[in-house]
Amino acid sequence: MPEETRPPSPETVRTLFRLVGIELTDEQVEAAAADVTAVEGITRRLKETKVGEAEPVFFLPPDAGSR
Amino acid sequence: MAGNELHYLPISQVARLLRQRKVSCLEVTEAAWARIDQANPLLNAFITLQREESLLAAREADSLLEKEAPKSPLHGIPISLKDLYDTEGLLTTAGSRVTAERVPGEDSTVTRRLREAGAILLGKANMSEFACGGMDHVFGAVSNPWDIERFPGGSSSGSGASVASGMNYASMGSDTGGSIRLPAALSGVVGLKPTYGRVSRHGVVTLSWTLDHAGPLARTVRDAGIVLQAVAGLDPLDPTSSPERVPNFSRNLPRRLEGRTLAVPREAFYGSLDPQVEGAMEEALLELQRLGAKLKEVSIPNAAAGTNAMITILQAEGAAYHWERVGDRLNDLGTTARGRITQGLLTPAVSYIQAHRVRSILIEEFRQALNGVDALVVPTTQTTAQRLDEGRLTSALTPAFNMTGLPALSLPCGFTKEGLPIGMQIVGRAFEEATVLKIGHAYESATEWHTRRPPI
Repeated sequence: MPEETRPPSPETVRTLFRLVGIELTDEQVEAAAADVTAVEGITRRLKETKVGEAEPVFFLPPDAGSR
Repeated sequence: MAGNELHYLPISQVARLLRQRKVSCLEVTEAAWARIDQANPLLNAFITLQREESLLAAREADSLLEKEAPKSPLHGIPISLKDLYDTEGLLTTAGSRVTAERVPGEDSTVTRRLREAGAILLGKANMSEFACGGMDHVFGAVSNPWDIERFPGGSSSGSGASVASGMNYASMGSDTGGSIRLPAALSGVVGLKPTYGRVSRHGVVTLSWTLDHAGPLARTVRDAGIVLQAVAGLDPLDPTSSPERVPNFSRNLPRRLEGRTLAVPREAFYGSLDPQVEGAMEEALLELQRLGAKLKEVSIPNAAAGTNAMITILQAEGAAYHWERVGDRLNDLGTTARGRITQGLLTPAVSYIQAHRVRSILIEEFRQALNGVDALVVPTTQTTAQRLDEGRLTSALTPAFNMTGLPALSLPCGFTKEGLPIGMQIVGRAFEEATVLKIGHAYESATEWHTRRPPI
């Protein structure tokens, strides 16, 4: 199994959620592990997009700069 | 006039009948209620309904018409709001158990502007929880009027189903990745996601500050323009609201398209279509040419990256918005909302920033694609409405226009042999909703898709 699709251990899942202030119950760990895997996938696909020197745009409507 | 005809007329026609005093606001509202009583038990399109209040408002609207001219073409017209628009004193759940008893103290700007335009609020439309877009609805599944075993599209599911079935003349939806245009396409109605900044988001429950758009669903292009007219324009309460001039959106709508050039990004948007959707789109392109438009093929190399970047932004911003509210109530959330919020909480800051870098690339690519043309023409979805028990959502071709903020209109462009609607998007340059509506109206006038009615 490729490394990126290996399910995270319950301890890893608990630690990641603790970082954002959520203490998981035993019943929540399985669903939370699927969330970790989903974020891994999204992050991997995002990393594959070549962004070159593009700068991010934040909170700007399309006419920003022309006002 | 018989109620069963009245509830399906276009807003523009009902407004004329009201002006001519051939029908009263009360009769129009009672016709809508008769249709709700008939169709809503099958569709579950509303979370909250306010019969007595709307009938009272209709009587007041009639009283005003005895003394003065209509406030606007929406005077006396029954409408609904997706249940994330704040309504003073009226339950606003955003489709979630977490906010199931929330009663706002004031109206959203859109609510206030619609009231000032004279519209009659029938109730609050059902929706995917927190506008997250899944089929799981806390207040019960919404059915598609064309086949009640299918989903009408979300997250503005109740808005799409209610407008398509004639329960109201228009409904305000919201669109973060396609949530106005998807239910419009899958329910066989018109949905307009305006330019980012065109319509105030003040008092609209947030999913993503930089992707959320407020806009109407209606049965005709002109009607969508009439509703947009009432709600568009600068709002000091929304820092992203634009001071851009608001033109007349429903005047001088043409029936021909001579002199127009339309861009067709085949590689980015026309691959992997269901054969019936593909057939409808090819026929629609031919119809646009018969109306006088020229077609031009364009390329948008990074369009495919847009959806993944959009999900990253949506989830990160959605998690930030909801973090405090749902931090200890994850078990109260449905599957889709819980997944969006927890995945957003786990999203690395670097991913969020990278997604915004993809966004700036997309904005530039679409700017180039729209150079020298009037609009883009693309399908709204790859497939038609899925079954409610299917679980899998219809593949959307909508997120790129949330990422770029460009105005995008979805309108009916055909039906499958099973009788399911197919939608087409017309996408313009920033703040050129009027152009998009003109092109949509010309196409609509030449076709009969918008005149079909669901079997219920």
